[in-house]
Amino acid sequence: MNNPLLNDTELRAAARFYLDRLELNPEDLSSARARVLKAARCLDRASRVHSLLALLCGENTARTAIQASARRHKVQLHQDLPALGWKPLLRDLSHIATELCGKPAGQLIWEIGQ
Amino acid sequence: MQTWALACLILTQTIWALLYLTGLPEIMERTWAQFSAQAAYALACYLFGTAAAEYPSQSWMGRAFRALQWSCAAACLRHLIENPLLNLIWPNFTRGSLCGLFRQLLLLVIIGGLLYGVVAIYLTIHRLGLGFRPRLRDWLGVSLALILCIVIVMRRDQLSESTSAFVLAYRLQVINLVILLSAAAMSCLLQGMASQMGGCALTNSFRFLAGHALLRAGLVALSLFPSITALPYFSPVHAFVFQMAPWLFALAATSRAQLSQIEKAQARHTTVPRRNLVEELITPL
Repeated sequence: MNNPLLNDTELRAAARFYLDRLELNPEDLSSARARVLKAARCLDRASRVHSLLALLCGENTARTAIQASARRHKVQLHQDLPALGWKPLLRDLSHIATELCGKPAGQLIWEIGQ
Repeated sequence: MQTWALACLILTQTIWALLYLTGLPEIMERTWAQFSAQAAYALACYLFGTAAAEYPSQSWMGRAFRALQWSCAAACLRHLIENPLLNLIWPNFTRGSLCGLFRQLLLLVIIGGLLYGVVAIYLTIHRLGLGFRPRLRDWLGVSLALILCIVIVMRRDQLSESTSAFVLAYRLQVINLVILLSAAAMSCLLQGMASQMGGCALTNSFRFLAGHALLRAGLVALSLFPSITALPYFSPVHAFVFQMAPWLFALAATSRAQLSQIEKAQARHTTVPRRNLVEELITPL
């Protein structure tokens, strides 16, 4: 599957990537964990939305929809997503799902991506 | 549901073939064909109506499915007035000019709805700006349909309604055939777009819809050439294949209904929290 987002293995690597860039002194560990958790959850949600969109609208539709939405919001999927926020992309993807598959599909994408 | 529709298609076609091969009176096979088509269109009418209700009121996709629903409803009515059992009450009604006029009026709704539906679906995908573009083979299909449009206009005197007592029926038949071939041309584009989107219930629905339009247009085009219609067994083979068209429409509707079922199943899954992966990632850190 040509997923523009991350599968589980890549997600682990991404988490490690962010972890390596954190200054892990004992005082900041709690805040670092929160930041990594936020980034990992964001990427995990994005991956789940991609899978669902592929199931509902086709694999290529899901891929191109995410890429087109990322281009529209000037987001580099793997780097900027956790920092810039996922909501604008999610709103776009939910709109695409609504247009193609109806309101229940758009609602489902929105809920899964939250 | 899709499996059931496919089973119905095979069953109805088998029964029709048995009725034809056993040499029973023609009225039986023709009546069976009308009932079969009505069942397929009634199923599609219900499912397209359900699908249309899932879209926002201003959505072009919703309008497309609503148009397809109207098309199915008119098709049910068409097969009702073409039922040969009516000839028992009104002799030669189905072969008469009045029936021909009703048929053409209903076909205007049926094929108009089909064209509107196909165009609206295509525009919905196009306007989303996902980058799917028609390819060369799609444009070749469009060109072929347009050439057949010209052939129909040139050979309009050979159409079945050319001898009708109603001039309107004859003119409507020409218009309907041009609309049908326009729908076939748009179906080539829709088919190409569906294949680029990837495999899923939604794109299967588009493929069946395009297949329906292309099959109908293809069979109509074949019947315009006397050298082809003169072939042995053309009539039963043509009738056999033509009866598959309503069930392709039903399969398009059941594929779309399958999408709704997938959505419901996924909605049930989302109620189960999936935090294991994230927790698994963070805990060892």
